[in-house]
Amino acid sequence: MTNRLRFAVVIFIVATLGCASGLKLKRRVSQAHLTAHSLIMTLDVLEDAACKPDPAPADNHCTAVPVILTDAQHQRFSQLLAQAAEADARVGRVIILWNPDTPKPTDLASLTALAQQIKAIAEELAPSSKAVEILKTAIDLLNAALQIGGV
Amino acid sequence: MPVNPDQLSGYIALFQAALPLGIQMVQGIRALLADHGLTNEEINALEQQAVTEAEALKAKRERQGQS
Repeated sequence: MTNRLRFAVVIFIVATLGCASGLKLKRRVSQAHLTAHSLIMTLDVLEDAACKPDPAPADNHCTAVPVILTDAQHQRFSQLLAQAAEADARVGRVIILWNPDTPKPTDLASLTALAQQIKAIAEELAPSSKAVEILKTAIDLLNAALQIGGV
Repeated sequence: MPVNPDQLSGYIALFQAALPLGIQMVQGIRALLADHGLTNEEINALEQQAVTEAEALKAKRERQGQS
């Protein structure tokens, strides 16, 4: 991509996100949140595939052969993912309560923190799979979009 | 570092699991830059679905996070 084209893309993003207001702004914020949410759900599926947790009695240990994740890694990952899911639900509830005719809720700053949280979780998994690099790249893109959008 | 063939098949399975979801995420990010004209009620319905999924995930991962 030439520098001129990159510049045009950045201008386009700033123009489309920066000028948003009211319902349009709520749509953009919601899309950012739903993207973050799908990243969290993706990490859940990915780790399930790496671990194949035993459903009984508490599915806190892995059964995958060959072993990709230890039980301790699975438990640590699960704790982080539970925290991210809690933050994810909290952001969703704030967006639902947001009347688009009123200013953007200040609580939405936590959406940026959520993106950082997701990246940290992906990095926990990183030694386990090159596939996580795809997720990390997507998270970087999400972070860039959030910063440009002023979320 | 040499890769054990068994590990390689595990990595391939992971990659296969991640790829369609990676594509879905890229689509989500592209949607972030577009405006699909959703109403406030439609946005709230999508958000409610995400909240429900997140709450279910939280419960599942809290269970799995116990040592």
